[in-house]
Amino acid sequence: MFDNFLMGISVVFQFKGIIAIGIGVLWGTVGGMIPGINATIAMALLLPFTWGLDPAVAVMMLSGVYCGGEYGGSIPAVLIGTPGTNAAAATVFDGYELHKQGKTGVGLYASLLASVFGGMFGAIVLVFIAIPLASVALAFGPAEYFVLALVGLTLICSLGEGNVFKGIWAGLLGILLSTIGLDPFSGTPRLTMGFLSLTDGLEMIPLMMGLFAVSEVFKEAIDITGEKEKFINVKLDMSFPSWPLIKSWIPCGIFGSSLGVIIGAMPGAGATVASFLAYTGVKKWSKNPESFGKGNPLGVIAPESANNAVTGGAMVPLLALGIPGSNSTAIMLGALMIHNITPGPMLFVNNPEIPYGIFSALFVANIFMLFVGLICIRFAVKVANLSKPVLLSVIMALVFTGSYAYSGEVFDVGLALFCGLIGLAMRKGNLPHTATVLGFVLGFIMEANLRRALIISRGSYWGVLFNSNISTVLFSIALLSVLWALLRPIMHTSVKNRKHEAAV
Amino acid sequence: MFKKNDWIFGLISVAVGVFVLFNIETLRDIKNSMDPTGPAALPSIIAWSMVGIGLLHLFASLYLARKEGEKYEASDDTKKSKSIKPVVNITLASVIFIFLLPIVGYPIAMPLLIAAIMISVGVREKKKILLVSTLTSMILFVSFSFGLKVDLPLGFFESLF
Repeated sequence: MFDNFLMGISVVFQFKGIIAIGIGVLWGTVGGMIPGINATIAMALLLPFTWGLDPAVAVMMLSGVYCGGEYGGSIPAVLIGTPGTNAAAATVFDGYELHKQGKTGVGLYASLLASVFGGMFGAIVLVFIAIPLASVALAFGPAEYFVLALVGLTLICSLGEGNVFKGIWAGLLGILLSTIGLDPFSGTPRLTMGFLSLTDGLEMIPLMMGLFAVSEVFKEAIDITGEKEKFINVKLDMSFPSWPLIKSWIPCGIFGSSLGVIIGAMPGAGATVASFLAYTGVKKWSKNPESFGKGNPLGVIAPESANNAVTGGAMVPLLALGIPGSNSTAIMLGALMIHNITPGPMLFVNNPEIPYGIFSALFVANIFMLFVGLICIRFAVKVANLSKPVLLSVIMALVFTGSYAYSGEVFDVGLALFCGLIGLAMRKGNLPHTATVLGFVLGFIMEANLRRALIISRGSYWGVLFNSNISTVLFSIALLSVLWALLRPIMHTSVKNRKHEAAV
Repeated sequence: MFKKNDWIFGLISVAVGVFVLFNIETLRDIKNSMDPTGPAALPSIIAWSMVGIGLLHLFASLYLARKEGEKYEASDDTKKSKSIKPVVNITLASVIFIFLLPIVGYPIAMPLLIAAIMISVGVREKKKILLVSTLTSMILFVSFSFGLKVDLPLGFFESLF
């Protein structure tokens, strides 16, 4: 293990490794700062640039974007009360209040220090958890892998807001899209509708960029048309917080980071859930809960440490099991698959430079983030106020160029556009396109392993689901998570009714 | 959990499910002892699930509509059709870009697309449109063509490179 660590460190500390991480962190931070672009979109936009690179360098660059993107969202959250990313939404409550009170430096540096702390914390935990988990995962056969993919999907679908069936439907759509093309077992074309370009299946890059970036452009285009461009001139108070003040933030940072790692390791939960839970948790256990929402720095520390610690936690299922727990790690999985590398337990044996490179890259990325953050916040007002129409056109240009460049086919440009329209329709219909992307990514793993497992069980589905203790436990988790998601709204309504009746 | 206008989602869901079932009809016979399920199994499970979810939403929506006296507001639809104008414009510009790209090449098609998108979202300053579209296209062309060695379509400029 120590040798592998040294290998990972040597990959990171090569000139191109350092440059890749630096560019990644800078791109992610700037992307996160711009409302409408989150870590996932920033990663998706950078994806076409990674296929000329070594797989390890490519993944390190994306790790840098992931870290930077999660942090960058907090800058506009503090400065203009608009979160750059969903995960930074909880930072607005106290960060923007601090800014309005003239304590801009406290708000911005609190978010930077908490993000670096959370990121480092997540990376350390990743080192200790991922490898033992990978050795457990070696006991997995096709049946277990199929059920594991099923668990990932059901957790994601059941976490969908409001209507659990829409979450399930979106996940099913993703799996369905993954079945387009030649059948991996019989070589028969499926659902290609006569398009030759579809025989190889749908390309991941145009699909992801379409669903995330193009649909976001459409949404923003609807929102901004007719509005005048807004500009804001705020004089930043750049004074760095004192050490006693920073020291008082540490327990809150540890709490937020721990929560972030746990939630990050759970497929489907993600940085937004982590940051809101950390914020509510800190507020609940604070001696002074009424100060939250009125400019308490702990209201910035908790969500920011949590959403950055998620980066380490989310890598655990990706690297150890090959299951992406979030959109960002789904893109990371896509990047690895583009380079013909399959994450999972064997990754530690076949390509140790990748997981160990990621461990080291996360540390380096967080150190970079400190410096990039210090520079970025000085220019934050200007960048966060970048004219939206310009931004939208540049995003579309980048998406179309990237889609074409990947396959050299105009068809993929059309695919990105089509996926963008589907993404917009899904947003309007409250269908989580997160579930679709994860369904698409997990679809191939699911089908290939299901069919392998069915061959072993001689066509018995029962034999697949209850093949071993692992598959039985995992299937029970999948079933319980769906049942819980179905019953939760009913229980919530009945409790509400009872309270209402009691009040009457 | 369910809403009154979920019938739209229900109809789409049933339509997608039926479309998939119709498309995989010919694949049902491709099975052998080494692959007992065949290529139609998973799409078929998904399609039936989609039909089921769609029907559930249709019935739930009908039930809610009946319960609330079928009060559908027509004004909402007109509002929506107005608001999606920039999406229609951007989509049209993108479709034209897709057709033009192999003919006129990237250096001409991309600035036109960027300009069209900027106009679609309300930018009227000609200088700004010209500057952003030319500069962005140039940066992207140089980074992809020379940096990443991607063969972007050149159209009229084929002889120059």
